[in-house]
Amino acid sequence: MSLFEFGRQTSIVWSGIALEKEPFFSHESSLNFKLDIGNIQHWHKCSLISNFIGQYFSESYEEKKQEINSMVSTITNELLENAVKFSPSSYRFIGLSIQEKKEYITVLVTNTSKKKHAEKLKHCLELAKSMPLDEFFHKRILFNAENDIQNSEIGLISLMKDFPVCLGAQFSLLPDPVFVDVSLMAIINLEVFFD
Amino acid sequence: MIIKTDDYIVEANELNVCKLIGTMRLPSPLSYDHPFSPVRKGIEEATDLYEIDVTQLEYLNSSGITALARMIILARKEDKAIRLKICNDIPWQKRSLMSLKSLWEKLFIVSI
Repeated sequence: MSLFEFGRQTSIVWSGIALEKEPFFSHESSLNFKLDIGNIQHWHKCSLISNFIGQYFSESYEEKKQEINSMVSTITNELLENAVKFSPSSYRFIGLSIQEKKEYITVLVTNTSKKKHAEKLKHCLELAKSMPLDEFFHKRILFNAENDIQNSEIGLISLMKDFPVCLGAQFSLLPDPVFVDVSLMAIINLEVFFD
Repeated sequence: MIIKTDDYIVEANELNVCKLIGTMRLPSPLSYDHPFSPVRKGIEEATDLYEIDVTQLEYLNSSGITALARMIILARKEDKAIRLKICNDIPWQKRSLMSLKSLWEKLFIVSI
């Protein structure tokens, strides 16, 4: 089935978690942001927001606060930077939502992107399921270096490889066929810190 | 040589050593060309094992990891051994930088 059937939403399943089934809305606490592209393109703001998110949610975990802070900040920053890079200025807003429930923190970033970029994201997530992530990372780093590629999926590959996180994406067509609404979710499993 | 901003410092004042300090979250690998220019120069001119000390680097985004990987690839081309000094107390470092070992057999990662 083509991902881009007009008028239909389709979802990517990653690691057994379907985006529409994830108990995203039965959370215990959440923070939600609506970010204006014009503001967030002051690049430093991505880092400021991510550091705040890391500090805010790690407060609940006294024993592993520094580790969780660093991890949540890193993951949030990668998703946010990704959305900023691939959002045309004609679609002004990026949504950022962070939700906490028991041992999970979920980071959801929504933006509008060009269809070609959305297809690349989909392709990356599908490739990530087909080979060991260390191998995927190695190949992509070498390919990008040899071809002087500036925008790649290294960030997303690193998240999947290096952190206890599940990534999933949902794509929705828009009346303008050039653009697609993208929701990219990272579900962070904190149980690994307390085994 | 020192490159200093509000967010980070790249310090390459000693022969065969450079330090990355602070937070480096620049928009693209290309953005790292200037801040990493002392690292590039240091590798090219290294007379011995070249040390890159990131023990005080609190954050490095994926564009930075890509740029750092390109320094490792450069070291391989120049046949220069690299010691990457990382900090155990900075959680992402061990997770994310160990993968760079696959790029160059003479990349040695030590953690403190």
